[in-house]
Amino acid sequence: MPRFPMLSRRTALKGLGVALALPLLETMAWTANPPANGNPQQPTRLLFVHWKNGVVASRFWPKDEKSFHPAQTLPPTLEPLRGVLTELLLLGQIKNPCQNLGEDKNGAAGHKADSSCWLTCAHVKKSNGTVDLGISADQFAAEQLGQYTILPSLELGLAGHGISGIEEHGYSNAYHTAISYRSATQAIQPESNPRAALERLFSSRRSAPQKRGAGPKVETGKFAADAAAADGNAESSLDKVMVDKVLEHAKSLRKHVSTADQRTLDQYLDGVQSLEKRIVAIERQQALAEAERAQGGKKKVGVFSDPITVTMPKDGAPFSERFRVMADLMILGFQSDVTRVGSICNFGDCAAELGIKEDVHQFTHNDPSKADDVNLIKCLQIELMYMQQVAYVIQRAKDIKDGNGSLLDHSIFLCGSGMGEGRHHNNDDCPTIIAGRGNGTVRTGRYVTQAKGTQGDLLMAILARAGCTVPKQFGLNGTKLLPDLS
Amino acid sequence: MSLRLACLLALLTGPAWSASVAATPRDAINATYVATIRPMLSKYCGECHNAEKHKGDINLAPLLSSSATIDQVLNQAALWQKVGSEIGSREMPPEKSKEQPSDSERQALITWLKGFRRLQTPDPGVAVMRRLARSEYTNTINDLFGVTAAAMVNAGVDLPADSIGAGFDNSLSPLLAEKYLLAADAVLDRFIASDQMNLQLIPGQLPALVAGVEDKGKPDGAARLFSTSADIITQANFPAEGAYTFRIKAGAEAAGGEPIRLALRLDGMVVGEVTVKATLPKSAAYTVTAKLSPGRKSLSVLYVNPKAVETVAPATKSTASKPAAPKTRSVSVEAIDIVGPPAKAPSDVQRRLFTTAPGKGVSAPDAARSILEPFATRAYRRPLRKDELDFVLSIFALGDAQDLTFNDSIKLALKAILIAPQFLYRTSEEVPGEKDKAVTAIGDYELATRLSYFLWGTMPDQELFRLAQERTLSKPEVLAAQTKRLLADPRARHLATAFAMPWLNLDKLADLPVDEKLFPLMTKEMRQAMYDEGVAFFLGLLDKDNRITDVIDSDYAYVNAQTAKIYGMSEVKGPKMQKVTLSDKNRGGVITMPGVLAVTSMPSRTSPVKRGKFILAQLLDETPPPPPADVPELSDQNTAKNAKLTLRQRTELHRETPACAGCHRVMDPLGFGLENYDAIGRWRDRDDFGLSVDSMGELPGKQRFSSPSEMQSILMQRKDAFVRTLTKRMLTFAVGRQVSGYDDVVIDDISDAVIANGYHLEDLIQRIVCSYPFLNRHTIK
Repeated sequence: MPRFPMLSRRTALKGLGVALALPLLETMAWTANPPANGNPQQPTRLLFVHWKNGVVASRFWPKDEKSFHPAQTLPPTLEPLRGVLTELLLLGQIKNPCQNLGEDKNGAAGHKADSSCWLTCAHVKKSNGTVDLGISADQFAAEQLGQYTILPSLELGLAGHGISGIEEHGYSNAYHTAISYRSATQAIQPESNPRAALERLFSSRRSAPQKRGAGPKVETGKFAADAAAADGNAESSLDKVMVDKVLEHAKSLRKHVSTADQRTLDQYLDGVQSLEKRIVAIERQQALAEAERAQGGKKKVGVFSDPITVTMPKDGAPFSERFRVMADLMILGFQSDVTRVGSICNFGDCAAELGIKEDVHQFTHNDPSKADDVNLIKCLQIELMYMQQVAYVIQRAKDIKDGNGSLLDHSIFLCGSGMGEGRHHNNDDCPTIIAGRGNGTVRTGRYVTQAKGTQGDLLMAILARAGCTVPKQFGLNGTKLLPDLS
Repeated sequence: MSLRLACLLALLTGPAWSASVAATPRDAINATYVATIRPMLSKYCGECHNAEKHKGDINLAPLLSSSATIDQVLNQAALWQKVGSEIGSREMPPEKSKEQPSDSERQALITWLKGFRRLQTPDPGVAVMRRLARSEYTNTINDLFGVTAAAMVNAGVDLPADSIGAGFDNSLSPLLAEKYLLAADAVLDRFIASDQMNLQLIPGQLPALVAGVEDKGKPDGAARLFSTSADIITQANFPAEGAYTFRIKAGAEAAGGEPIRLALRLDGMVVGEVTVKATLPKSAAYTVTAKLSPGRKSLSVLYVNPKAVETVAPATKSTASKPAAPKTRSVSVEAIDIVGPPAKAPSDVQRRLFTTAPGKGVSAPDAARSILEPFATRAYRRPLRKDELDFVLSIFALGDAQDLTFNDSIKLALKAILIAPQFLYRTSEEVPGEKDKAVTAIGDYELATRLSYFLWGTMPDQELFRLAQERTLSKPEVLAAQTKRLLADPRARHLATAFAMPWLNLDKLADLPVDEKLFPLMTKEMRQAMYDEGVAFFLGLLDKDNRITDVIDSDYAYVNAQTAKIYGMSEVKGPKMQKVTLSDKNRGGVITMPGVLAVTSMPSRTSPVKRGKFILAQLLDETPPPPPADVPELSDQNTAKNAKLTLRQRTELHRETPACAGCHRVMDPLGFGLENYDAIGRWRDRDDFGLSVDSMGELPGKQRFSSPSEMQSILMQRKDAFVRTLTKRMLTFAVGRQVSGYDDVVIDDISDAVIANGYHLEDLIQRIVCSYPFLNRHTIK
């Protein structure tokens, strides 16, 4: 697999088969979403990073608020986060009461809830092997914030497991493999192929035939220079017009299909409509960038880093390397404002890299009271590796200058697991790490031992800080904005 | 009891009897329920599974209550199913229970359950509009474009992995929508070359800037006459890379001064200039050539010198301050013709697809229709409704109106077809008069589609389409003959790869974590060989001489040079799978297949529990529930206290806990019966600890065995349960949904018939193809 050259300004990536709309990197958010008061502020980016199976609590939680300090002795699992500790808010006692285990009174329900309830706070239902849950917080945010960007959201994963199919106990496989849900019935397949993720971020489909007539004027002086004008002038590719027509015609198919199939058709329409919006967004961004360039670029406040370098992993690269590429792609997406909402799910099997030959899951069934327990030792190694990755993605964002602060300053990253302690399959006291100051809305460098609310409350508080209009209730247990963030 | 049983059996088998005892089958079932079944359940099961006590989370109170109406009792289909499988497999009542039903009592219950299921009215189930799975999409694209094997495209390569059958993710996410569009682009770019651009632009119809003011142009405009600064501005799509010739037809009236010049600009860059020498009213064509990359570009024709620059000697100051009054200088631009580079030679695919070319008395829309209608019919796998045809043609018209070349307009329409729901999903063919019914037999096109996706994983071929068109495919003898034909075709391999491999978990081989230090034999080639063995074995079952019970045990295996190393058959050479007669009684069937033994092992050791579970879940449809939380996995017991125990002894620890014993007393012995096979399926006499392998086991009902072969013999006694399992799984695959309700009756019927007919796979497939749920569907209201 070829290594990609550094992504730099005005560089088009060769060998991808797609033109890269990188000139946009210079001009993106500020023109696409001008703040109402004219004060250039960076948009708040949201990232949700999930790992499975919780933590060994006794090796994760600091003993009190004061111990959560870079100068103090940290619990072993938190050690990799020392360098970014001041950027973190650690929340204790976050519960996610949503899973009624009655339907399947056994251990596996806990594993399904781990991934699928983390961002939905909904009850996992069997529903004949179909997905039946609720919208996830990231998708809720994408609906509202996504209108400003080429990609409403980016969902990455490492495991490459499909969301299709039914697992042996009759539940949809999606519950194990997806944390992002577009709606109660639609799980999002995380992209686990870095090349495909890169294409998704920067494919511009420039070569598509364009519609003649209503396009932008040739003379740069008359070229629409602001978002509104570009919108009104909507230059349309023939693809967009064609997709429009496909959509219109597909709607007429409704009367020829059964009621059950109308739902399927609606999902089709929804998917294709998003595609159409994306084509429009890409074209708008391109027009804006062109206008910006013609005018010699706008003055922006603050200092911006050059786009970060992404090196594609080789086949068979170890887990940590693959994670880092995914993290880099996510950060690049944020940095270039191609998207403002992301999720990285299910850290996947890092065992091989640690020289562990067995399946990761079994080590979570350990005995923390015995320091020499074989499973415990391996489990802690695995959790340590997870934390190293969490630290990486946080550090990466911290190092990027993003106007009047770092990218991390303008972000809220929620990193955690939907399970408290793996061996209990429980969903209380879930490990919950918040990183980033959310444009001054999150007070970091703290450990709140007793958070005053649930996972749902936490998600509502995060959504509100990113500028979303939040509902009165989120999932089964979100009823208020968690007060502990600021 | 025996008298009552006799009555019961008679009730269920003799119509004369049932007529005299009970008015309807429902009454008969009720009578037996009250007289026999309920007392039996109360006696053997009621003690642990009642309203207060739900052992194992099973509450039989709804079945036992004497106040419950028969309807309430019969509505508990799922619970009855559970009761049937527990009693049938002898897992319940537990061995320790003193009260055990006799064999005839167990049989009576099972017979009653069959009759009970039969009370349901036939229902074809909810057939969904199924999205094509990744492999189906790839196959269909190849067939649709008629690609030869050598030129096959892996169109679905970027689509997410999925599996066909129940639980298929039918939704279309934005990501997927985009991937379909990109895939369509890639396929069309590969197969359809752009034709030569031959575009005539009429200046009067194009927008222009005249003296800085925009003039939009008129639909019926012709030439444009400019006498001030002017720029004709438009865009054009350049289909391919190469040299383009622009012929600008113009005439001028250059009163005084230099000749009139026109500049051709593309994307703002001047690519050439012409001097208009023809004097109005005459005009002439002036040519500019330019090498261009493909894509849309802005195009402008600029009137360079509306104001004359004196060509006489430089003016003195005094004359410059009093310039001569400009004389009329005007230019008329009459046409802009663009001719692109010659088209590349069309691909074979394109030649086949483009049956008609415009010109010679054929209009472009007519030519388009004769190409697009048959293509869309095949893509949608049924005749188009009028609105569907209109839609496809409207996309061609869209491209045409935008001055795309003919090929590019066709391409745009093909792209629309490839992302239309009717292509990406299998939609129903409307059956005349179906609105008046609740259930209808599916139309012949829909049948052709169901059949070819079931057996081939792709769209129907020409013959199936022809039979559908003739409305004869649904005739039983034609359907049977076609099923036979499809099964004999190499494409029937789909049944093995899409159905059998996931069923046997052999699709996991490629990514199976194996400790390669301990098992250096487990190379990529070995994994592939193990997979191929599974495929060969399953397809071999289509052979009349073989039986589906060979899955449990057979006297043959498929071996190649790779797996020969596992089997210890050094005489087998070459990569091809060869059918070998087995002399070793302990080998044979799926259970002792190296691939299956490997996927049911841990990376570094065997797992009797996984192997036992495989047999129960995949072959007998008795998936054990997941272990409760808080139970340590086996290796957790790697403590000093247990260090000296063998794997068997440690596994047996499971059974000390009542919570575990229920399932493990069946699972573990089955798995231990296979302990003679290591984690990649090699025979061994000593286990990982150097102890001699103990493959003894005892199953509920005091069924003892001491070798894999003896265990297989015991399993063979349950071969009918296996046939039912296979039937159920294959019907699920064929109809693409979970089976429930009336499907159980269908499964009973098919498996009974397959058993009676000698356990043949082709027989099973033939019966599925002509089964009620395969041939019928709910109507669209």
